[in-house]
Amino acid sequence: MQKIIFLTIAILYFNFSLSAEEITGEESNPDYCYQIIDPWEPMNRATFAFNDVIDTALMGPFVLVYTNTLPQWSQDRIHNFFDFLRSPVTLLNNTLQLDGEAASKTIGRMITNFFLGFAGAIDVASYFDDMDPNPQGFDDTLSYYNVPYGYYFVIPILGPSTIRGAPSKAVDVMTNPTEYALVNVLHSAYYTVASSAEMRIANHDAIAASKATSVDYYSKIRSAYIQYISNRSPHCKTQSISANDFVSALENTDEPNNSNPKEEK
Amino acid sequence: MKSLFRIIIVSCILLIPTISHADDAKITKFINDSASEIITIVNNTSLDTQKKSNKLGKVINDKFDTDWMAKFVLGRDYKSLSFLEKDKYVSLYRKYLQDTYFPILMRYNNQDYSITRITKTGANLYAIDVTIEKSEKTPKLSLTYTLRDDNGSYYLLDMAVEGVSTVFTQKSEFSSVLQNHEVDGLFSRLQSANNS
Repeated sequence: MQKIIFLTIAILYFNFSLSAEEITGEESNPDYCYQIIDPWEPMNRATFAFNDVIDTALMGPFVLVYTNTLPQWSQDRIHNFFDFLRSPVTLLNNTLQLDGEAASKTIGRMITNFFLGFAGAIDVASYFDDMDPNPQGFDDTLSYYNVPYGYYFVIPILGPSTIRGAPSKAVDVMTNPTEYALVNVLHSAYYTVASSAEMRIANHDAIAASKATSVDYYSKIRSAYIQYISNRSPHCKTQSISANDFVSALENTDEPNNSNPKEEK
Repeated sequence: MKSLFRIIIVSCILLIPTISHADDAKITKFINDSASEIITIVNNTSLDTQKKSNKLGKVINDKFDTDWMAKFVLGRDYKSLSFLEKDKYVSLYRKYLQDTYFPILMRYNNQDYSITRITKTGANLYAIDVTIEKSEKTPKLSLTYTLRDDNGSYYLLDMAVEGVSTVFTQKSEFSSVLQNHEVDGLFSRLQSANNS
């Protein structure tokens, strides 16, 4: 009896010092995770170049005027308001993913920000513990059900996407009640353009820095986008450098490099 | 004999988490020291942008294993380079990495950060998850560093922002350039990216 108790305590102690992954064994990623499948590269590159011209010619000057005329405080309020208008889409997708906890958080965020945050202009909810925004779209729902993202695809004007992501964007627009509240088609189009422009403005600095430090901007955005959507999938494990990656890169050194101070490490 | 065996087993079991916690403490110290060094430079109002860039470049070169990163990013193609080309490539890559990280580091705006998890991913490799709290200008960000333990000296191998890894992105980017423009094309593009 004593032996059994001793062994049980020992096994439990040993197991608690390991991560869950080590106990259950490493599950491999589905084949599609982090894989770039781009059979339409020439067409995608052309669309990407077109989008870049539009972005530089129209969005560049617009962002400059917007950021220089509006104070940061007002920009934040507009950003929060557009985020708030997208929350019903998040709620719908929380429900489709049968994620009650996330759905109740989204409802909590909507109510808090509507009543305490002046109709969503101030993100009061994120000041509470565990109430940070976690926007979800239909692409996330398909990803939740392990639907592969398929071919990489650049949408004119809208930018990087995939075969799974492109129709999902349309579903997100169609399931957003704001689009229906703005019954007039033109008003709805204004909202869609304004919402996209606002997202572009919010990421302006990151985009500019990324473009400036790039040797092939198209490949950079493609790789970053595929990593980003893979990382959001609950089925894809985080991509990290493995011991094999580490050793194989070391094996690439076949000559001493004396001018390199770090070789001494 | 039986009691001796028990003592050895219990000692071994007790030792496992102790070693792991000692590693965690050293890694946490390394990350905190590196962050503090970077924050001091970013917040130093007496330095102009060029001086900040030079100082941060030095920190990046010290903390990151830039040689390993350069080799990893080029993959098998690294081996096919001549001795002089390797030298030129590694020095171009170092400058390129500094230019890539400089705008990211300069966006730091005194937000709080916390190390949320340290995971051992290989014999001497660790993944460190860091959360940077949101500020007026930036949303809440999650970063993952890959760190190598070289007999007690730590070197960073990668930084991933929201799951987007620097080295995997560069690997894809460089490979695409090599396919279409070969080594000279890559060098000239690195050169112009460094001059921009």
